[in-house]
Amino acid sequence: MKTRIRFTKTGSAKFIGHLDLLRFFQKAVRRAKLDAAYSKGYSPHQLMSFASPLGVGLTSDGEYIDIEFHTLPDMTKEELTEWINQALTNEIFVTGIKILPEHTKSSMALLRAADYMISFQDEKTSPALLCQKFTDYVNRDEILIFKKTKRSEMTMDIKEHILCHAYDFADFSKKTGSDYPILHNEYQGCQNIYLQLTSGSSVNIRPDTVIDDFLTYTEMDRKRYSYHIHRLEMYFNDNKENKHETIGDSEIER
Amino acid sequence: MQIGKRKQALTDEQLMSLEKPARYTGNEINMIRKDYRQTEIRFCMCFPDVYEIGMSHLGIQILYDMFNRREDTYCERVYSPWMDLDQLMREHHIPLFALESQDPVKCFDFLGITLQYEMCYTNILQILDLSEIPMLTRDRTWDDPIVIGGGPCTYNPEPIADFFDLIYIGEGELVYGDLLDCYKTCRKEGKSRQDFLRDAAGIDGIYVPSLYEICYHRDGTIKQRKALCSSAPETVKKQVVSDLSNTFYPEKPLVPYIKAVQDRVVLEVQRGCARGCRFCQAGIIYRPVRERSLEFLKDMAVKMLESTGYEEISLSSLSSSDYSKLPELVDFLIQESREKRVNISLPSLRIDAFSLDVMSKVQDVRKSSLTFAPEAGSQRMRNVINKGLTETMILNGSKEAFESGWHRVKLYFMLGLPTEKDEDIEAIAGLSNEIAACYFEMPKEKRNGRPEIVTSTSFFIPKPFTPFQWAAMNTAEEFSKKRTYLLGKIKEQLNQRSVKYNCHDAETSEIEGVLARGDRKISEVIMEAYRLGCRYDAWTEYFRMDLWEQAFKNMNIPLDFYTTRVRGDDELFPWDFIDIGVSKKFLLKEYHRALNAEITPNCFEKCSACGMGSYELGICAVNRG
Repeated sequence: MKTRIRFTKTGSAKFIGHLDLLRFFQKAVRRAKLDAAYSKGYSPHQLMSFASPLGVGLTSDGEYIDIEFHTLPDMTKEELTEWINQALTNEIFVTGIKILPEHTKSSMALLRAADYMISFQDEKTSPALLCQKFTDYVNRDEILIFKKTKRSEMTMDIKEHILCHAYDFADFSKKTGSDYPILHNEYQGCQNIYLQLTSGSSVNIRPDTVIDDFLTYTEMDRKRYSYHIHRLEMYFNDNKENKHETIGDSEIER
Repeated sequence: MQIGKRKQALTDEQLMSLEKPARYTGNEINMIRKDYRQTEIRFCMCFPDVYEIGMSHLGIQILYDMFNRREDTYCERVYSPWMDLDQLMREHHIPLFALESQDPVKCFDFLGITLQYEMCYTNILQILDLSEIPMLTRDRTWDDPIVIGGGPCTYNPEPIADFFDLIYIGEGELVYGDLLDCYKTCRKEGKSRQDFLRDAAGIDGIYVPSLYEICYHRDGTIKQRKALCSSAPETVKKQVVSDLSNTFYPEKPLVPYIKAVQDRVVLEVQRGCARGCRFCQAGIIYRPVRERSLEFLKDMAVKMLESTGYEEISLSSLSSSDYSKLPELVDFLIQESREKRVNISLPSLRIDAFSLDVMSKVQDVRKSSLTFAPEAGSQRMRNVINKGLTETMILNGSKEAFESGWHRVKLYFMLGLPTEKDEDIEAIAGLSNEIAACYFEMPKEKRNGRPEIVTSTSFFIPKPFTPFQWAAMNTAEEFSKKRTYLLGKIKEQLNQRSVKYNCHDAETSEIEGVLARGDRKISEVIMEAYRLGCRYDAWTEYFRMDLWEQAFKNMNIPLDFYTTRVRGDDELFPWDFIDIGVSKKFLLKEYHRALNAEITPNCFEKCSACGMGSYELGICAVNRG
């Protein structure tokens, strides 16, 4: 039985790396006494995978992990969420569970976009000026960034991959058509830039790439931690209807 | 503008600049949350090494659980900051903080430091220094926590006596209740810190170093210990848990986010060891052998696996093969492991038919290796150290192991044991060779490639409260020579291509030797070494022999007084004031038997009247009844 589970990663949990987070979930499933499915072979491991690794230092309200179970307890989704959360923490907890059809591809393969909130802590630049500068940056005909991978170096136009941007949460919500559940971000009272970026296994635009390029372009102070990134949501290609949907169907506040 | 849910002592920027920020952020699974304002005592428990090592230690988990069961106490944790954070804290004047509340250690009532190995001594000073607590007990006031030490190294507390207000001699489960109550009373009555220390000295097992004065002979040995007040007892008696099935054990151990060295549930099946190996300090100071009941262990195993989600459980003790209910316990765990997909790890088992059968059930024989600890190569040398293991037993065990499918064998030996001669060292090479030969004696179709024999040697360091406490230790040069000699002898063996040789660092061993049997004069050297930049001495990449040598020179203290000197039978040792139950008379008798290569039966075979019998506990009570 395949499930796609939406969860948060906030507070001090932002310092936990990707592999440690995987080990954390493996133990959590055991603590919750869930009947997890295991791989075959000599050293079997639980069948679970993340949609997209979140960098160390970033927080999120919209993380996704696929976990396969043999059976699930006889509970409503809300009860199950509550049950699993007893094995989790006040920083990493489940905010939605979806049971998937048998032959669904992994969330990693289906991922197509992600929403981010970037909070600026630079008090020298006024909010209005920041927005103006970003508008100038993003409205150019092409946004060329220099991309260095293990194999090659290339220049890429990311304009079509900045799918949506806004400076106000309500406005962003209207533009993306998403109804975000309660946020658990820790930075408040900052000027925010909201971005929807292409994500997934073929093209993946990282928010820090865009922001670093923006800061270079505007020649603003490029201090390493002058902004904080909070992931808001991820979108997946649906096999049947070619339409995205969020699966945060229960709102839990801790 | 940050509205964090949990306080962090370090900023995001600082944390992100560190190699592993999750070492310092806490909030692990099963972390205890309390409001310290609702408690009367804040206790900070410290393991003076890096987080991944400290989090693997069972003793801290037991005490953390025990303290936090008290409503009036909030126990938190701190580990040594790694070098990157050490530097950052010094640059930015950030005081050392506890993981739970992220509050400075300095604002706690107690700082408890566990001393598991001598090479962490400079890390104690790092902890105190970064906490902004004066390093010396005499410089502290009520503005500082009470600094208390515990653990195996406290059986010779003298080299670090000046750094501690209190030292607890014995097993941690026992006396802390009385100590905390005494503290509360003293604070309520407005007593001075000095008066509290005097009161604490009256509690069994509590040693207050500052209440004693040491007089030395002209040759540097101890003449006399003088108690400076009436509440300071002549001897401090080791505290021993009488019923290990009816005491504290963490049902919900902490589970770190980052991978610790011990990434599994640890089940301590018994305490103490009946074997009486003459080099082994743990084998003497943890006497008598006391088992935990099968029911207790089954119950704890299930509870801990459920509360942590660990996928592995490990048995722990000095000699698990001696646990009387081992077959029943292992059967139970194998049953549980099938249902719950738990791996079982069985260290410290003697290699015999039973253990090979069990191990082949719980581990992959193709991948895992077997460990033998003959400790010495020749039979004469094994008799000297009272290691009740014969060559026949080792070779038979190896044969059976090879026939069961193993082809990797690890062998542990010591170099520099008392009375050691070249032929004893050569015998290590010979024994390694013969074990490899056992493999080739098997028919070809039974073999699985080439055997891998890994022979490791460490250098023998005489420890307090062992029969060898009188013995001389080799110098670093002698150790290096012996290592080279052994390597040459291994290369001469027929099966040398199947034998790999590993060796410890000789210089580290020399310093460990000084710290192990040092007296109060050594505390100045430790302080000087720290001042010169020594810390993390247990880590080869940070150990600096040149700085240690400089420290001895600067303090005008000869290193060889503590290492290569043979002690006279009647010498008064710095640790003699501690009553561990085992008598000095017994240890001396054992020393002389050792020099004559005479073996002494273990506690199962015959009571040798070591003195522990007066506690009437565990195996001693059984033997008498």
